[in-house]
Amino acid sequence: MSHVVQVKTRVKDVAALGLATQRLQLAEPTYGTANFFDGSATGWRVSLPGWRYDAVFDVESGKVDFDDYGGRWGERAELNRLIQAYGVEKAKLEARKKGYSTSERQLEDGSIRLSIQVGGTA
Amino acid sequence: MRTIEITFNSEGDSKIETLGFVGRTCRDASAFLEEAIGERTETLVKPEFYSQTITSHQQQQSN
Repeated sequence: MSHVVQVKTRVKDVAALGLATQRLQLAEPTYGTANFFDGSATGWRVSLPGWRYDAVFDVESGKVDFDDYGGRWGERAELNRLIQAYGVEKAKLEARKKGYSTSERQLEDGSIRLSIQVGGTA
Repeated sequence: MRTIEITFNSEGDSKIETLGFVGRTCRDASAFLEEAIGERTETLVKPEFYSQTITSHQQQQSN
């Protein structure tokens, strides 16, 4: 290993977001305006399990808008699970574009490890 | 075999590690993933990162 990079996920690919919803057996994202208790947001809407209002993804900026009222109107873990699934699907899409093979493994702590075989030696 | 391992934690953030690379090639190899997934927040460079440079300097000195 020669370097380790920490990356904060930003949702900027609708196709990968769609794959993430499929993976979690959620309804496909739909484009539109979601109304919150106070205010609204326009973008790709995803209905999360147990959430009162949809989460809204702006794929131009990578920003996500939601109204969970500090967890009372939706568990943050559901949103995190979707973002985790997005990251996995986005990485798999990008790896396949380069012709690399991938394999994934669920870890005990809830993490998902994706291995991308680049091939050959350095 | 050169491998890129990405671990996505339950918060949705990720850690990218390159395995089997020597020198700075690892940085080029993982750059497309860093850009695709989001924003790089931290980079830790391991000793192997510099190994190609060190070898190159040794060769120059011996010539």
